[in-house]
Amino acid sequence: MGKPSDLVQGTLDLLILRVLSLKPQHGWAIAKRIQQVSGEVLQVQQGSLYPALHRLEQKRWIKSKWAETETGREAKFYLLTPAGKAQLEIEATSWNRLSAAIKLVLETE
Amino acid sequence: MWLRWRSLFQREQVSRELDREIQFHLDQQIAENFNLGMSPADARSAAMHTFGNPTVLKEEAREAWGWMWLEQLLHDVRYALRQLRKTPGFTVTAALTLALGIGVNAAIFTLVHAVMMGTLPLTDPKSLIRLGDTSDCCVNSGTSENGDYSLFSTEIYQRLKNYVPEFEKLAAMQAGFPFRPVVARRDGTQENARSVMAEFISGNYLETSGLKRAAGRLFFDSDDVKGAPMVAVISYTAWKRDYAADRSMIGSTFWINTKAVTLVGVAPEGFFGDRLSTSPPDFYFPLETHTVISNAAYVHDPDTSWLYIIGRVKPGTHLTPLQDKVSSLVRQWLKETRIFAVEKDKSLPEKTHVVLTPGGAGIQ
Repeated sequence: MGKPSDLVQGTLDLLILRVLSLKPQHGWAIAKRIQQVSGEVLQVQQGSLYPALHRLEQKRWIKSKWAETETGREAKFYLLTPAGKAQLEIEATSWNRLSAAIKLVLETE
Repeated sequence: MWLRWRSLFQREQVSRELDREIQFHLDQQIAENFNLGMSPADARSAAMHTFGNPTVLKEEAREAWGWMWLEQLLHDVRYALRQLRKTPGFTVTAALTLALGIGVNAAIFTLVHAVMMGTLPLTDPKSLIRLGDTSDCCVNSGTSENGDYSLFSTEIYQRLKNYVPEFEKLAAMQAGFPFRPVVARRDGTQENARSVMAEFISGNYLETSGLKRAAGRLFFDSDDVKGAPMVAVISYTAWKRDYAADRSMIGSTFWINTKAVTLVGVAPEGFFGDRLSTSPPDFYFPLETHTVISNAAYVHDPDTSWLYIIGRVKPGTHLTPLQDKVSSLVRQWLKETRIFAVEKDKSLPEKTHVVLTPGGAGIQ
């Protein structure tokens, strides 16, 4: 499995921010949630997920905290910051604009 | 914590933290495999296999702590868009497939194919006009912030239909159908109830799009009247895929959300609805049936907007005066049908406007 392209990076960031906007979760749960909510269509590979999470944390759109899961294990949970919430709005708008542009290209003679 | 500075000055600790984090993920994957029925040995080796090389993973996470990504991202996005313009068909299909390393549903290829090959069976898509320029969704009460309306109530739709003769036909469709699948079960068979995509549309919607039936009949205006017997039209894809294009099922009963509905016809082949979607509607129902089928209380609530509107104009109609006319009518009617009692809302009616956009490409 190769490195994801950078166009793809932005989209994964968007999905992670969205998932965390609902509640704080650890990496495993984030990947699982994206998978489930998308009806098994979007499978996020670990190779994409962790670099993305660390990048988002570096930009301070999310922050992390070690805490206990329900099963008593320690895991690194991520939370959305206020800056992250704002970024989510921006990226969602951008995504909609991009997919509209693609559609135009497909359909304009 | 400033991960950037920590990664520089506390490399060891951050690196160990990453190890723990990845180990947790791996353990969860192993546990999941085990719960799915694999032996402990298989669970472990399967997890290690899909996981890939942990060292490579840690390297990539470390790389993420650098600055290069931003420039790369912008550069690549610009490059990608230039490439798109040059070879739209191949590039977009490839990009969609690669995105996030996912498996793309076959449906989107069928849709892209249909769009690319120009086989969408709309008649004269150029004379189709949409009222609205945003993808506001899905069921809104209250007013639009900037006065721009793309979502409308049943009341406004019907008034526009009756009082704007410039629209030879005006049709409406449920904006938020992707979020409200229905449960369908064919009567008199052993088949299980299934969750399917369904869209509520005005009686004249299929006709306005210039579609011809593939079998049976499409809707009449008389189907879209309160109290009329409930009917449905099935998409060609669903008809072929789920029922092997069985003609005898036309006229038969379906239980939709436990309500009895008669299937009257099949939409034409190649029609996937009014927007780009991986799950186009399998069933179409008249707007009026939304109250009974979906238990929706808002179909006749003048304060609730839930419809997108498209219409057909006579060739040569000037759109700017039409847009002004529609805007001022909507402005006037909103004042009548809504209460702008709250102080901050009082200025909103003046900002009310509707933008007319080309409708042949569907909702974007």
